[in-house]
Amino acid sequence: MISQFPNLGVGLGFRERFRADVFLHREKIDFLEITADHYLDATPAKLDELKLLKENFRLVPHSLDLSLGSAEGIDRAYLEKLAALIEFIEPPWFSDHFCFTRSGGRRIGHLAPVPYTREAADVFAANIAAVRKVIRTPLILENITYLMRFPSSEMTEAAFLKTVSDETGCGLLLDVTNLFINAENFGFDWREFLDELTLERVVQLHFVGSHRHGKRLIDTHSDKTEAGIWEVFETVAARAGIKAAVLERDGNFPPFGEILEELEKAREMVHIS
Amino acid sequence: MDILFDNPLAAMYGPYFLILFAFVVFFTVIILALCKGLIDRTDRLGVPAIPGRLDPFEIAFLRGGSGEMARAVVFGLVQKGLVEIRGQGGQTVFARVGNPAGPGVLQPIEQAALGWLGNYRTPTEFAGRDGLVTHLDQYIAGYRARLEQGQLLNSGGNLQIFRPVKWTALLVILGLGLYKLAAALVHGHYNIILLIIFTIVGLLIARAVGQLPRLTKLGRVYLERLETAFENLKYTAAAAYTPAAEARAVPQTTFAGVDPLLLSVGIFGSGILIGTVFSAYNDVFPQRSAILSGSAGSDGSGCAGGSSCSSGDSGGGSSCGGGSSCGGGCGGCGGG
Repeated sequence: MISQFPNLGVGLGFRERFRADVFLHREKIDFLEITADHYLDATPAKLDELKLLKENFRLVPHSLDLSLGSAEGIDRAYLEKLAALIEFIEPPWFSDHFCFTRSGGRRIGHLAPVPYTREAADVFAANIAAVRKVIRTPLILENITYLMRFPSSEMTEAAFLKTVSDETGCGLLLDVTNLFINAENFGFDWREFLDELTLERVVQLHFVGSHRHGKRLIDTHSDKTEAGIWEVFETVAARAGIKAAVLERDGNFPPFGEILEELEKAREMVHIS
Repeated sequence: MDILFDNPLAAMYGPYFLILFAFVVFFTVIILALCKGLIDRTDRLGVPAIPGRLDPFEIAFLRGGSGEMARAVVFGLVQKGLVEIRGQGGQTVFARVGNPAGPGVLQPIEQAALGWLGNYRTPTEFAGRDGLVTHLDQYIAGYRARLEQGQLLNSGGNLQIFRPVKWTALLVILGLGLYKLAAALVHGHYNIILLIIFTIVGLLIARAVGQLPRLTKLGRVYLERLETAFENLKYTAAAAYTPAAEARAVPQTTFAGVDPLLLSVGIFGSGILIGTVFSAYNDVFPQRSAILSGSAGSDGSGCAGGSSCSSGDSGGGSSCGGGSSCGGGCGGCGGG
């Protein structure tokens, strides 16, 4: 199934301030990843933007709030709105995260990690099945950064990702920046992490620079991709048959030329299968 | 004669006839509008993708016709530092102050415009038989052909199809009005003022509805898409040329070979120059409203800024109408 996904190339996480630039440099941007949540309760202006983007680029939606790790299940209203958006866009796949963002019926406003347990894996499996009943487009899941790990975890993060993806058949969106940050903050070897994964399941990569805050690295999406992250990127790109890579820049915006340089560098490293 | 003026219609009581007349005008206008909608079926087509390399002059032509295109070309020369806006002998002139650094610096259309400008020209000289718009005719023809082929502009063919429908509608209203007027006079009724008013109003409504716009529905959507795509560009591009910023006569060429300010002028008009070091340009050619201006068959070369010129549908040329003040600042109809 995953091997039949189309090759999208190297794309950019679309942000409103990039709008003119992506059109002026469209030959250097293979596709756009849009934040699905920005278009779920869209104003007419955002809908116009969505139509414009759809007419001119291949789009892949990236949602933030499915909360697949919530034991209470999926928010039905959110799921239906997401399904309508995906039906309109007709993407080859869409993505969300290995996390929960809702608890007790409330949004917690953060991508929160789950304990890596059998029980949590079953929750993901149940929620993914619920999503698939409404959305037939393939779902891929992204690893997140975290500031703490649960003592109750029964397996490593990589083993958890592998378990969920193998059991549900979901592809992986491997955020190499998140992997690098977690490896630095918690002192594990990202190569061993990769060894534990089923790399054939990696469909897409995310990359951007990390941000140092005291002794920790944090994921602010506001820095240029540094050498350490490029090393992870290159390693994964060489070992996994990825279909797409996306630069995610959300702040401290540089001149667009710098963004294009990063895309070009990624393109040189990626061997899209 | 008896049959002509001795029948139920001719003898119909005046107020009843006016009600009937109002219905006739209403349905005629509805049919006219439906026919207009049927001629332009481009809303069923997919909106064209925005090309990787944009031509600001072609976009200006799409937006406002040949006049707008010519102004965008001259603005490009002003921005490149080859032409200056000066006060001379009590009037504003465009004076040539430099030559391009080498071959290939200017596009052929810019080179042609620079050649036309000579040493200097006044804004009023842009229009007319020897004006810039006429001088750039071969380029305008190319743009028009491409945009008509893309179904973004209503073609002469559409106009030819629609013209008989429009004239039929006008003749129905005019004919019925005149017939009843004659019948009234024959029968010695001289209280005809309402009938005349109804006829005139009916004709004006039908004329307005029967105006085939320059842009097709697809053309309007495409232009709106361009405006959406480059909405933030007009602010960022203009911000680089505010008096507070370092004034840069040399255009930015980093954007895929298209200068962002020139592209913004092409898409949004010279109004975006207000507050920049090029404000004077907008003062000479105030921004015209986009999209809706002009009608099919004309090239929209008519007017600028605030005036309400309407163009004839005679396949070319334009004329001022509607009692507006074409002239003044824009140098009269014809693009000045």
